[in-house]
Amino acid sequence: MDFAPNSEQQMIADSFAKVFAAAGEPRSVWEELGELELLRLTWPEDLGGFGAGCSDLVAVLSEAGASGAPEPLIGAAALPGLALTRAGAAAPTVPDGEICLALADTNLHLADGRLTGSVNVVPGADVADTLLLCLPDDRLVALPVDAKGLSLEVYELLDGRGAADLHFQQVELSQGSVGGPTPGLHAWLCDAAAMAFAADALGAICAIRDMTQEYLKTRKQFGKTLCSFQALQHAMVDIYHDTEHFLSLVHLAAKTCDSDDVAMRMRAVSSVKRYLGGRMRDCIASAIQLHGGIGVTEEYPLGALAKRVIVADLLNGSSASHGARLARLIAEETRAELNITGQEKDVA
Amino acid sequence: MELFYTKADIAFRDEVRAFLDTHLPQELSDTFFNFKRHSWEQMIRWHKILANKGWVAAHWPVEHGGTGWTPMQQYIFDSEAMMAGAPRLRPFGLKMIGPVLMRFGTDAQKERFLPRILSAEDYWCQGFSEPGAGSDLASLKTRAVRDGDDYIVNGQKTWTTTAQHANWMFTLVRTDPQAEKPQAGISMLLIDLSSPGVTVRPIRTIDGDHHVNEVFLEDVRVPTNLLVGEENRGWTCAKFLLGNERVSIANVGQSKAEMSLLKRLARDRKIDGVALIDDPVFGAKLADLEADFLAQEVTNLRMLAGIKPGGEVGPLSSLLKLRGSEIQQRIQELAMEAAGADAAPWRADRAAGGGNGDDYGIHGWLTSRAFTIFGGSSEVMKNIVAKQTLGL
Repeated sequence: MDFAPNSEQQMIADSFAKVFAAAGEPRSVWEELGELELLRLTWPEDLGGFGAGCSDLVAVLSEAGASGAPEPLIGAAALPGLALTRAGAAAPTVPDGEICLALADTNLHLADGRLTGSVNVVPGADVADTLLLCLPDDRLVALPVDAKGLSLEVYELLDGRGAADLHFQQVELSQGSVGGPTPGLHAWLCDAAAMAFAADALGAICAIRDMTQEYLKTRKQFGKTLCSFQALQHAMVDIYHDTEHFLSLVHLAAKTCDSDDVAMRMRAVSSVKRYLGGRMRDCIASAIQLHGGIGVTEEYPLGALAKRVIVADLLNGSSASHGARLARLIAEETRAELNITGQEKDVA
Repeated sequence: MELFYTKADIAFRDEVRAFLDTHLPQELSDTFFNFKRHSWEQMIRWHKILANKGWVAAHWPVEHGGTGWTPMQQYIFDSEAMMAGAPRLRPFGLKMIGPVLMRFGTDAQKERFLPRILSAEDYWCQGFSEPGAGSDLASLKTRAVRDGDDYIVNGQKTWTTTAQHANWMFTLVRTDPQAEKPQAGISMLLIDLSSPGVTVRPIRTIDGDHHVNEVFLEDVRVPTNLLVGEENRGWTCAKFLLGNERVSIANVGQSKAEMSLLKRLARDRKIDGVALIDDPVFGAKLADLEADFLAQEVTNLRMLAGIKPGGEVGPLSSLLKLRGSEIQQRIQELAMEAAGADAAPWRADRAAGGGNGDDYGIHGWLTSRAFTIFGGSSEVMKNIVAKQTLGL
């Protein structure tokens, strides 16, 4: 319950940390992770994976977030694995090579076995050989990126991680392998994706926190270290508190993604997203403020980590839409309870 | 939050629920669910029911008449009891002086006082704050001068919660005014409030209630065997006690129960026929409160898991006090907002524990202003965290 990783989770997180630290020597981080089979943590065992769940991912993704690693760990490793494991026998056949999960929304239309429209800002699609497309009807489709009618517009996100917009022009599903429906899969993957990016952001925000604390202890102005000023102490304490609460929520979200309690999962994930769009935004802004001028330079590592938190905030549903979802869940749950107040009245 | 419960926790929860179903009097839960506040007499009634079952001292070891429950079980019991609408027991005997006596008291003190806390024969209040020593507690001036087998105590205490009901007060006094550091000359005395020279005067708070008092001490004789721990070492007892107090102020179980009352209030209030809970602006505030509460609930479980048997609570306790008191204030704020104009009329019976859904929120809003002040104001708590946890 203290959410310290268990020994196995710690060992895996340490392996990641080691690879991140030795970036590029002698192989790329991505190749190295693949070689060590660390990219298949969440994959089904019959595809050479370990079948890890969301709770197992938190330590690893936090490590990635803290290190600032640009590799597409979420989009092209964790999420496709989670999707295939969840779908089980209903999963499509996936070929060898890099696979990236894309979550279709209302911008993509399926008619007569053909897809038209787009899926925008798909992290990890830049490296993919195959798209694992999750349709709103809860089916997975494994589609080669060179399928006829499909085009990718590849770019970097603001934190340096790769992504792409996918454009579909009458793309025939029959070009790929189509799986069967897994009830609730699309909604689950949307929440799992939000959780995964939040776990990554957790690592980044904790790194920002440590960096800021250290800066306050060493930087001197007016002949004193910054940490002797009470206003700055209190701002740092607020960052500490909010990040601890965020940590609690991320673990709750991961735990609920691994459970069957759909309402609780949605509450937890939307709470995490509200934190990213509220208290966490405030935290990184405050961390930059506490650094003064150095905090706004591109060279100082804080900025890159802050952008990583912002990416988690912007992707997988807006803060506003998650606020609305949370409010709706609360209303539904409260309405389902027996009315025992007997105080219904207009307040105008 | 039952996701984090073990099978044994679930079984324990079921046992607690079964007990509450059969032993919590309807009159007590009705009070809560009708947005009224429990009276002192109702609280004592519940105390005695729990004492009878052996469950009144949830966090005491079995040898002293406690339950021997784990921190997790204590939390489960507290949140189940609060959700069922039970009165909240006052912490002064059970959570404050009781554990201090177990840690620092003499055998005679333990034998004399602990059973009487359990039976509610004694009720305690806390004589710490003074007019000139609030957040800066170490500057307290109440003097105790030794005279044979007695101390003679002179001074004034304030913000003394429930002193009007209590018969005993654990009190910080200055025994060595010459000590090098102000903390070093302080001792803890147990004072019988029926002693000659003790005067209790009520202080009305902005909610119209009588929670707190001034306690005047004029040549009050206190036998030296009522000194807790060593003379001039009272600060150690006080710090131990304040750590426990801060955990209990977080009141996660109570917030959980009050969140559910607030949601029901918002569901049943309508503006132009639309339930307030469906109003997008109100809903957004409720959603953010829910997110903060969920975070608090999980952080509380983390803290509970981090408590080693018989050990101190970790750094998360200050965090829980800070956010917990804010959450309680925001619950009341939204309840006040939910009542709208109906919260504005001042009702005379409000202060007497009366009230309804209309004035529940405004009363709570006013009452809860104190929550970010007592037991260490939020600003003092931040100073402590900055220094002790972050090393700033």
